[in-house]
Amino acid sequence: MTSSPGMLGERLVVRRTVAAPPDVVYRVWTEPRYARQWSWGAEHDTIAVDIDLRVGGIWRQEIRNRANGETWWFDGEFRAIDPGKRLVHTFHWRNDRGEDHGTSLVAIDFIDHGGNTEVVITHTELRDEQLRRDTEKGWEDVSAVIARLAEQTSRGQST
Amino acid sequence: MVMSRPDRISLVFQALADPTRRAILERLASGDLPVSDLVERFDISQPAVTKHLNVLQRAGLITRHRSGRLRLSRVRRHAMIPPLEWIRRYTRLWNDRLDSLEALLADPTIRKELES
Repeated sequence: MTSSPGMLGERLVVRRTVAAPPDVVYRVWTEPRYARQWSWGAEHDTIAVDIDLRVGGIWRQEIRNRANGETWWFDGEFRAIDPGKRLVHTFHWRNDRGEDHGTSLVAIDFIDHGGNTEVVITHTELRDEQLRRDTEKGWEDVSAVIARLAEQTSRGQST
Repeated sequence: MVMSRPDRISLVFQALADPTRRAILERLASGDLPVSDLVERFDISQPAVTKHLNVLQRAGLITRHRSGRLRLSRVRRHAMIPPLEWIRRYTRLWNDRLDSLEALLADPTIRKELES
């Protein structure tokens, strides 16, 4: 329904309101038989889905690109679970071509809006957790600086 | 040593986390400057400015070059691209996934099954 990305430094927030109640969205998100049907979009076949839904439990997904056969592995560990409301887990992804994006942290909030659900995904670079806590107040400034300098870049003032 | 992408991004954010370094970077955005100008401008010691410049250089945010007797610092605007890429990549990943989620939720057979 609606979607808007936002950013605070390297913390990314994506929001989307979907036309189903939170308990339904949560089930589709966490039960393997549903998760395997939507997980990574139409370009990929889902090869395997494991979701051990408990704190400390591991989730794992393997997908293959239909066009070029590229295989991707996604996995992580659940850090917090509030059924129907919130999930927090680590997020690691790599492929069979040697690309590895390292480990990051994802929090998903399922917010009830009169029978619809606002899904709020907060994705952060895990290695910077401590750094972020130390400098929390500066992050908005950082993203503003990046935006300003990037704007100058796009105007063609290169180094 | 080749630095992996996340490490590079970390260094950039770390460098930008300090308000004085952000101010130096913005000052340099309007043109190349010698250390002496930054010392005067920010009223901090020359060693302190040099230290900040070293952090910025290590993060790949500035380069330094000589012009006559002066050693000038210059912003590398392309260094801003890795963090922007990170943000773009994950924005796309999650929006693709959410599109797919919405398509499944719109499937009447699935909805019937979930709501029964």
